Amino acid sequence: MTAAVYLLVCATLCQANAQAREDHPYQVTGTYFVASLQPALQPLVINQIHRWRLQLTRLDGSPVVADRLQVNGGMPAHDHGLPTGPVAQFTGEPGRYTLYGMKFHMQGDWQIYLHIEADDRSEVLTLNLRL
Amino acid sequence: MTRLRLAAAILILALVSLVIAYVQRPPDPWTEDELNLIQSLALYTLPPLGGDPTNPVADSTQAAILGHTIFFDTRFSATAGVACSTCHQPALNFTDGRVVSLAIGQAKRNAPSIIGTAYSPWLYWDGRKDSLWSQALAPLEDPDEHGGDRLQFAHIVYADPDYRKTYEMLFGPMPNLANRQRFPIGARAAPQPNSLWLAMDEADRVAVNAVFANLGRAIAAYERLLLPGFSRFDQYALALREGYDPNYTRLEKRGLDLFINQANCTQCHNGPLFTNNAFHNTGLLSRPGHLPDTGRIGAIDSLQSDPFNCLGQYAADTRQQADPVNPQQRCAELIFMGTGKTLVGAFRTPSLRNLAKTQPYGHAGQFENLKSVLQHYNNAPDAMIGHNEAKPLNLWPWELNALEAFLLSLQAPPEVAPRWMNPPAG
Repeated sequence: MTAAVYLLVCATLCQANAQAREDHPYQVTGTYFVASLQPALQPLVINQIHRWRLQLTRLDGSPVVADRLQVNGGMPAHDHGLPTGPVAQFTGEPGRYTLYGMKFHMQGDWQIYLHIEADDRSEVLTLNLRL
Repeated sequence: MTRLRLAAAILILALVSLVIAYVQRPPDPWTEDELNLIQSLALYTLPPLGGDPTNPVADSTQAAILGHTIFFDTRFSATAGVACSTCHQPALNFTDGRVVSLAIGQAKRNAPSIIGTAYSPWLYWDGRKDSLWSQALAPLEDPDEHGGDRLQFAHIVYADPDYRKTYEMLFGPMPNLANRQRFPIGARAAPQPNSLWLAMDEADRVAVNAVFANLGRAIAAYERLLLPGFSRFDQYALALREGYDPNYTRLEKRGLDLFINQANCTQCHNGPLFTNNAFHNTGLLSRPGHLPDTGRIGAIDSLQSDPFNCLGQYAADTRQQADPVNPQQRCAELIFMGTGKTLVGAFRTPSLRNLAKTQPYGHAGQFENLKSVLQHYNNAPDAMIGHNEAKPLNLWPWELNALEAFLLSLQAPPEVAPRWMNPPAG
């Protein structure tokens, strides 16, 4: 049942994710923060290191400069992580980061986790992504 | 009565055969997604081999000639009896047919093929090397393989007029190795530096290391020429694309269908070389009597501290410094190297091209033949260490046969000029 619900949800959300374009970045809304993510690699393909742009805001749209920002991810179905260890780097513009070292090595359902510490709060945003 | 029983048996057999033939039918026609996936596996989609920023002679024919000669030269060993070609034999698709390699001693793992490995960001089963040239150095000093030493090899090149001439043409003047005070016979840098090596001037040690790295670059220039050939599967993919009648058996098509669909093989064995060059724990058993191999996780530290890695001083002088802000930077694989517990017991996905002559299979040669490999993935047992990512395929025996037929259709002679497949003349 859980799997069915997941598939149903993912069939909607993940397809939407897969269609991210320059003008329609992936969007993840959490309790405190919102992440807009845009891969530089279009279309998003496997086995290629690339970078993503990240815009981090509060729910009211104001940009967030995180005290700490980490990115990782994996494939829950296979219980493994990303093949790389990406690094989030602040661009100097409020709320804007670049995620270097992004890579996927398998087709299927991935999750990208953003560990955010800002405003004395901590939150993990999860992006579901189907390749 | 006996006739009746016989007739019934024949009828049942015929029915079973019909049922198997029905379930074994290949898809006809393929869906658009399947066609795209099939095309992504075809050899003609393999891009030309890119340059290696850490190897300025990567595409030099002179360097390939030098590397080819060293590859077959048994003087590059402690006993003058072991060459690269001892364990990477051209006739066996550059493997040795052994469970684990036998050179001066017994190696710890199965000798992988070299064909097409120039495309991989990682070398060895555990990826403990990040370039073809850096990989070529390690066996030369491994006590169980060539068992030699970088200074010994530098002396060989220095003393051999042909080697020295080619070397200096490619890389510039060698250090004055005739000075045995500065470059003493018997000085060893690895696996542990001995007192003679440590007594040498730092500048001389660096100079010898640079010569050693350059010998690796020449070997890499040769190995970059060892590329896979056009297989029956590639012919089939081309026929599908061009719309002419393919010469591909029903069993092979059914195997391909299983490969890209039900068996999910393309999750790891993807792209025209049938590998994602990544590391996976698929529950491979250790060799009998041996502890489980830690695989990739055990390679991370040595990779990071390797003076011959992409960020090391022997790679840095050829092009610009690695730049963490430039996404197209060199050394990106090393800089952003993944780690973590899921790499425990994980090994690099091997290419599936040219399987016919490369048995036994697996990092420890655990599998005598393809059937036993397929049976392993069909069962997907728990891993001895770490976590097996693979799930049981639960295929029928005839489906495994179809998969095997497909895998064997990837076989083709390497796309290599004959001169490179044999020891150098003279």
